[in-house]
Amino acid sequence: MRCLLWVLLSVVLIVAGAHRMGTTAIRDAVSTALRPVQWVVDWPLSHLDQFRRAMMTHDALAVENRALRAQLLELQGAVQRMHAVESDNARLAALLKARLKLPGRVRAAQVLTVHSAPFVRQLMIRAGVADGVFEGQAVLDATGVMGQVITVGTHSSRVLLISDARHATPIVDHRNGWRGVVVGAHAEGTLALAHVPKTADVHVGDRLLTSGLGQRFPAGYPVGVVDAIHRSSNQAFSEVRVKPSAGLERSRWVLLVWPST
Amino acid sequence: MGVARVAVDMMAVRAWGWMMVALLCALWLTCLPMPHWARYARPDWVLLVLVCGVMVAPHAINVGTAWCAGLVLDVLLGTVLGAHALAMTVVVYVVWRAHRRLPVFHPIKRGLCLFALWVLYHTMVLWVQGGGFVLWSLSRVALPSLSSLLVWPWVCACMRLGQPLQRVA
Repeated sequence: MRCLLWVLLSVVLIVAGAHRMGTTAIRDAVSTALRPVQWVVDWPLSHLDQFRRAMMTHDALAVENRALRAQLLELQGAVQRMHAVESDNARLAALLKARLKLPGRVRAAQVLTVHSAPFVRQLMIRAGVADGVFEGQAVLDATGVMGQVITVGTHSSRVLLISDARHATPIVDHRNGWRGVVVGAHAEGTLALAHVPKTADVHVGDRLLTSGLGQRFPAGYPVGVVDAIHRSSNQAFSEVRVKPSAGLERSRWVLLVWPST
Repeated sequence: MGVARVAVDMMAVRAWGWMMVALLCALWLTCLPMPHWARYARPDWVLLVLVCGVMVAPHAINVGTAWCAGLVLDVLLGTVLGAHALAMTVVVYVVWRAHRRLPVFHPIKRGLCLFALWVLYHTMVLWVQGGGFVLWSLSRVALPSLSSLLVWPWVCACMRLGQPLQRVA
C-alpha cells in the first residue's frame, strides 16, 4: 500500500513536471540542500588539476607556452581584421541609419561536471548568481555555441547543451541565409535540423550560425556544420545531421555571454 | 529489559546512520566525472546501496528512503523529476519483498534476478525520459546493469561491515 502511495506521488511529480506546474521550486529546494555534496565532488577535482599543473615538467611548460604564444599571435591578427570589419560595419550602419549593436560582455567559467544520464546533456559550471549569471544566458566555447543556462545557484549553474533532445537553436545557413532550427538528436553528441523540406537549399558542408531569433543566442556564432543529408520518398522531411562546432562534452572552459546593448 | 531496548534502539540508529553515510558516498560516486569512453559503464551506485541495504538490513531501508534517494538523483542528474524516484521505488519494493529468498538462491540465479531488476530500472527511467515512448538503447541499459552486477558483491560486503545487528540475528 505504501509502495503504491510513493508510486502515485512519483507519477504526480512526472505529470506536474510535464505541465510545468511548480516542480521548479522542488528542484531548487533539493538542489540547495545538495550543494555540500556537489562541493565535496568538486573539491578534490579542482585540487587534482592544481596538483597536475604543479607537477608539469619544465619542458612540458615550455612546449605549452610556445603553442599558446603562437595561438595568441594568430588571434591578435584575427582581432585586427575584426576591428577593420567593425569599422566598415559601423559606417554602413550609419549610411542605412540603423542602430549599431555593441558587442556584449563575456566571462570565462570552468566546467565542473558533465552529466551524461540517458538522453540528458547538461553540465555544471563554476559561476552563479554571485557572478551575474542569469537563467537563459548563452554559453559558448572557443569554437561555437554550447548551450544555455537553465538553473542558477549562488556559485554554480547548470547548462543545457544544444545536443540535448529538449533544446532547439534557431540558425541561419551561412552560405545562402536559409533559416532553420537545430535540435539535439538522440544519437550521441549530434544535432539535427528539424523539419527540413526536401526542396530546401541545404548541402553537406554548410556552416550553420545562430540567427539571433528568440533573443537567446547572439547572432553569428557557429552552431555546427551539415554532416549528412538523407532524403527518403516515404518521409515528408529530409533527415539532416549536423556536427556541432563546439566541443560540447570536451571543453573545460566556457564563455558566458551577456546581451549586447 | 529497558537496557536491552536501549541497546536495540542504538543499533537501529547506527544501522540507519551507516545507510545514510553509504548513500552519501553513492551520490558522490554518481557525480564523479567519468572518461568519455566509460560514461555508460558507471554502476548505479545509489540503487546498489539501496538494494544491498534492503538485503543486509531491511529494517533500515524502506520504500520511502528509495523514493527520496531517487528524487535526489533526479535533481543531481537533471532528469525528469520523479523518473528515478519511480524506478527506485518499484525496484526496491521488489527486492524488499524477496529479501529473504534472494540470499538462498544460487549465485548465478541471484545475479540474473538482479540483472533483470537493473534492466527494469533503466527501462523505466528511459520510458519516463522519453515522455511515454521507450527510447531503449542497449548500451545505456546493458552496460550500467553489467557494471552494477560486477560490483554488487563488494558493495554488499561493505554494507555488512556496519551491520552487527544482522550478524547477531
